[in-house]
Amino acid sequence: MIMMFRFLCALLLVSCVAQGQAVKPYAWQSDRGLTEMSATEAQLPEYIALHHMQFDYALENDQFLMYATLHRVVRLNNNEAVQRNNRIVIPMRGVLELVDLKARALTKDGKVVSFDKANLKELKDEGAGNAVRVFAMEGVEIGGEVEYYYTRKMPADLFNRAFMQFDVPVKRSSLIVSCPGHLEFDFKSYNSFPAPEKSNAEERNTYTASLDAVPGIKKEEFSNYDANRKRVDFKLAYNYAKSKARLFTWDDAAKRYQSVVSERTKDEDKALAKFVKSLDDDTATPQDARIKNVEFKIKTSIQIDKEHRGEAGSNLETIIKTRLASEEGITRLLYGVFATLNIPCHVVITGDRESVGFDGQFDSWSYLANYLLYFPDTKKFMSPDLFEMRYPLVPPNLTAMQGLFIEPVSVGGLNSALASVKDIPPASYDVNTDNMDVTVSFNSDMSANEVRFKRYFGGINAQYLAPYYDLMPENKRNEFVMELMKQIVPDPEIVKWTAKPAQSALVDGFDLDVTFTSAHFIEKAGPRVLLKVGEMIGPQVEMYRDDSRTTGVENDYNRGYDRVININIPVGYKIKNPDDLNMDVRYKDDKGEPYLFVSTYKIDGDKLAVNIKEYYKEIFAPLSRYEDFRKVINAAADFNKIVLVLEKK
Amino acid sequence: MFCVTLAGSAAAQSGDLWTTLKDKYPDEPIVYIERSETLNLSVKDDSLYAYADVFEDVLHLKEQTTIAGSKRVYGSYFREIKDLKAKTLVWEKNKYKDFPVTEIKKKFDEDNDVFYDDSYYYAFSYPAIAARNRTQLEYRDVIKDARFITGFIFASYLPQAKTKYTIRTTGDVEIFFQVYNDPDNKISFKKSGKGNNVTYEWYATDVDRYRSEDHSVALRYYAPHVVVYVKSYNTSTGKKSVLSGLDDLHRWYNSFVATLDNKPSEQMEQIVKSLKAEGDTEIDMVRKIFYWVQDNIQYIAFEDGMRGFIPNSGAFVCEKRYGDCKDMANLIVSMLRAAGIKGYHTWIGTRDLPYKYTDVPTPLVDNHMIATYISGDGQYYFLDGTSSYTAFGYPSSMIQGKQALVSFGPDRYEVKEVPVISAAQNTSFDSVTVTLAKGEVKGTGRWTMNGFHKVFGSYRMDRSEDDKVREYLVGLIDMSSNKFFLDDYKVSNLHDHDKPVVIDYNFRLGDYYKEVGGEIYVNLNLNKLNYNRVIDAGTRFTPYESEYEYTREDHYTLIIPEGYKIEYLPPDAEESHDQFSFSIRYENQGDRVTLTKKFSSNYLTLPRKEFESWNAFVRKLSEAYKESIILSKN
Repeated sequence: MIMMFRFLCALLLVSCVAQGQAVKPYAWQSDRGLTEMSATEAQLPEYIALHHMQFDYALENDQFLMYATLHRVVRLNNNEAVQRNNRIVIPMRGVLELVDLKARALTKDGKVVSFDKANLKELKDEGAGNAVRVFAMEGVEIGGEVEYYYTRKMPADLFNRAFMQFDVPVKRSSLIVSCPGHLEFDFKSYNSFPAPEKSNAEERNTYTASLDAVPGIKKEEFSNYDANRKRVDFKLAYNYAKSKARLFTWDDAAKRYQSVVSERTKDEDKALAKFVKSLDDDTATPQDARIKNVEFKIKTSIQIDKEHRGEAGSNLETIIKTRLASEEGITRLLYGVFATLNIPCHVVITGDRESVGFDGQFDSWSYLANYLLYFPDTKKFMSPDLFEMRYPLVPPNLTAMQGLFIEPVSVGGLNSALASVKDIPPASYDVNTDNMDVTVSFNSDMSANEVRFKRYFGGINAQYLAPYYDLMPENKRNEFVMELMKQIVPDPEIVKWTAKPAQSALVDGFDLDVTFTSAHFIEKAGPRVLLKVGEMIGPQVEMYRDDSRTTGVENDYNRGYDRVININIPVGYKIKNPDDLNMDVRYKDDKGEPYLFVSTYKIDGDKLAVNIKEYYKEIFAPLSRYEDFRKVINAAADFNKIVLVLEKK
Repeated sequence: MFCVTLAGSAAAQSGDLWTTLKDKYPDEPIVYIERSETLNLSVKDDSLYAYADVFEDVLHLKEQTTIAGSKRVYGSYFREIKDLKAKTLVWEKNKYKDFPVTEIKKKFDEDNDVFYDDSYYYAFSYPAIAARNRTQLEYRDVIKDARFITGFIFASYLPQAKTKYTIRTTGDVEIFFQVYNDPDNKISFKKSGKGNNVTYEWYATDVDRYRSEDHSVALRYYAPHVVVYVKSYNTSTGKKSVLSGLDDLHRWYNSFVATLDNKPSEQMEQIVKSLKAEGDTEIDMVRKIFYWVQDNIQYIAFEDGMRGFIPNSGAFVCEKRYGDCKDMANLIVSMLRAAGIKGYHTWIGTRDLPYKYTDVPTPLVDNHMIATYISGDGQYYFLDGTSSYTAFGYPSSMIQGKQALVSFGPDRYEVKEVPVISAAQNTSFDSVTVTLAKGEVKGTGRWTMNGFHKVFGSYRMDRSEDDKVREYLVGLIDMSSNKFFLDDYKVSNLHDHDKPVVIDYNFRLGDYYKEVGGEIYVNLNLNKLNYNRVIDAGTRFTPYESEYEYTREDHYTLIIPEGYKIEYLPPDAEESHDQFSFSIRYENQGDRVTLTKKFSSNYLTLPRKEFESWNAFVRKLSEAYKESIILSKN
């Protein structure tokens, strides 16, 4: 995660005219009863009567500050709602002062129990680390309300985000942003939250937006929660006291981050030159191999320490010496190495699809959260700061959206950078594979099977297997293989196994080859033998029908499964119902068949061969096609249910 | 001050060390060369001072161990961490060169269970981690009160070549010690002295790493360790007791509650009055007060110095409506008093702690507080306010079988064992009727839960979101199918403390039965509890733990479709052991078939020697689960 820039740019923003009126302290209605609500509203287990966020920006003593206020009123109608709302945690990281805090509980009879501020506690890291203030709401009861607000004074966030929708419904959700009159903020509302309206009074600009009756939004499968919530992103866009030019554009960001990643001191260059020599780069090998070699050497000898922020973690000299690097530091190191080796490499910065993604149309730097490196010659990406991600595989949540591509340019001997917003394509389905080749035979009394189970994991499916396998002691490897097999069958008696990371030019993978016996796949019905062939592909999840589905389909990553099951039919037996193995479920659209599950079989003498093809080639599918998508997902669960009936010929 | 022989200058020796240890632990990426702790106990100006010096020396045997380079050292109000130093010894040109850690950050500990916690940790990362390099750590752990001395656990998450625990003290300090879980006598002990100085030393070589296994008993049940406490020490005015016996521990604990202002507040008196109905007996009132606390006081824990031991007054908790275990225990005692009934403050250790008050009379033995009521006929009621759905008369499951320290006053107390609730009292019963139609099984069920089944189920069902309740029920009813559809359900008696919870439900099972060539195959074992749940008897080290003993009965009725008859009924099956049993019986009732399955589990801890019989039992059960009924056309 990239630390957000918090420019100390007060001087830049100081107006030659007045600094704008001082910020008025926030206040609540001092005396009130329970919130009035309809009978339906009053029956909700938990109901946010008010969610109000306010950011008042101010210039004080040449500092650009903001007063951030959160005000909430919540009706609590069951035990869980009380549990979720009786502990309040106020994040204090980077906060200058908790300016104000008030809290009260209203009993179901409307009696007020005021919070005694003496019971406010503080938890704080030494130095400028994390800190929180915590308190327990006092006198809370089921059927009552809790109400609190607090205002924190902090350095101004130039790029900001306010979520206006939650997992429970909100009666009124509102946002106010205000700033001195010579400054202007720019806003973008998402998921149909209204755009803020601007007004000007007393030398301040005030932006207001609110929405009543905001429904609760629940977590849905194949969907990213935060991206679908109503929210407002905003940024400081103009300082009219200085000029009419837009502030903090993508080009500005490109210049800024290019310098962060690429500029080095002389000492750093010296350390880097020496370090590069230790990497055994072979210029005669293809670029892919050279990139992989550098990445392997660096990621397995230098620890990426997410806590290790600040100067020490990003200075190359220190990193090379201590073998410890921050996320930014390891990015600088990799970039520096590739520059030294003359392997063209660009910085890309993007958001996180598991959060709100990246919006190239709105140049708020809060979207600049994660680094990638892009190699224009190979047109592939690298994740610089994740141990388990290896070129050309990057975290899927950083793909299938746009990112800020930074191209270094040299103008008249001066280093600079150009920004462009471009797609970061997701890996193809045939990269993220999970293939099986299973051969099954029966023991003499038909009570158990011997199974040779070959499985190949590719791409994302191998990310937690391949890089860690080498680090495991032998007994852990045994356990690890057992765990993998138990996902398929609960009682494997393992006869022999081999496992190994599989390196390939395309993408790293993991090979598993296990021979085991098990009684699990066989059931009995008197003289008949039932073979649970469907369970040999491992348990598949059934996706339930959801008529109230509100969001479109979003897959984490594209993926493909090629499975072959070979069954040696025991002598003297025949299969009564082989046609049950035929399945054909396809999702079609104007581009082709992005999702499908197809199973076919062939019998040749005493050999039955089942072929199963399943893939997901596209990340997104529209809400209107949710049912069709579900059918493909559920086809695998349907296959699980296939039972072959064996009877004597 | 530490182990000079291992310090950086002993170059050649350390180089050999890598070769030696690599041969000895060919599989291990990282091992302890040494882990040691020295507890110093001294008397100064008639006061007892305690601190422990901790030292660790770790050797990296393989490359790529950088992911193990981050370290945390924990402290709290009672245990102050001082003089922390850490460094990497870098193997260069055949000798070790010091590379100190320069950035050590103190952070607060965000414990999930405790809302506000005074514990903290120091976090840092060792530099230059690579094969052959060593990382060393030393610090002083200053123990604020000698009563909080715990001893030393020999096992660690890494193998240890050498492990040592030392106590340095004088003849003025009387200590108690005992070694636990060392059946092969791997820990050797030596006591030595010079003048008034006394040294106790426990020493072991080649200590294996401890295993973390699922459903395992807590570490102290099986890891070799030494328990130590100070009984007394000499002062200028004579011998001073610290924890010379249970009397001392109780007197100290009692002082936390004796000074509380437990006069009932007006609010509390009103509540007690409103609870009382005409004709209520004393026991009715105890029950009502217990339930009121369960229902109205929210569990929120604050660990803040001595507040970790001293409850808030009953009036305070009653008004604020939240508290931790001791707050709730004290509130129950106060409310009982307001009703004119005697209740007693009671300390207890949960089942995570293996000790008894009668063996180890120190704070190491407990971590929890409840209230006790003794009825006229001598019956003990252990009232644990933190357990929201526990019925009156039941203890919470986590204190079953544990000793309770029941306080009657500053000098009067009793140690009483909390009963283990029998399987017969923790029952659940599922009664299901199914029909077959168009490939689908359709059914209705009624699930009834009692005792701890009810307690744990209620936590999962008392939820706002239907999805969450549904998810729990699907997992509970668990018809071993990914095509189990819970169409609708109704939960009754969730908030009635004294009645069993009843879940009525309708469901469908897709693709469940097979129809081939005029025959229907259907397996009536709809729920396959413990199917193939074998324990890896060959490699598992720790006993297998269960939260409570229980019985389950499933009763399934299949209505035979019209035009069909029973072609084949599977054989009945049963198996019985002291600690577990099952039976499966089929019955042909003409137009229907019934299957009755009874299962009982009568253990809290299953020792290793029982694993094989459990596995044989499970295999037999799993075989029985595989049997299908055949129906054929008339």
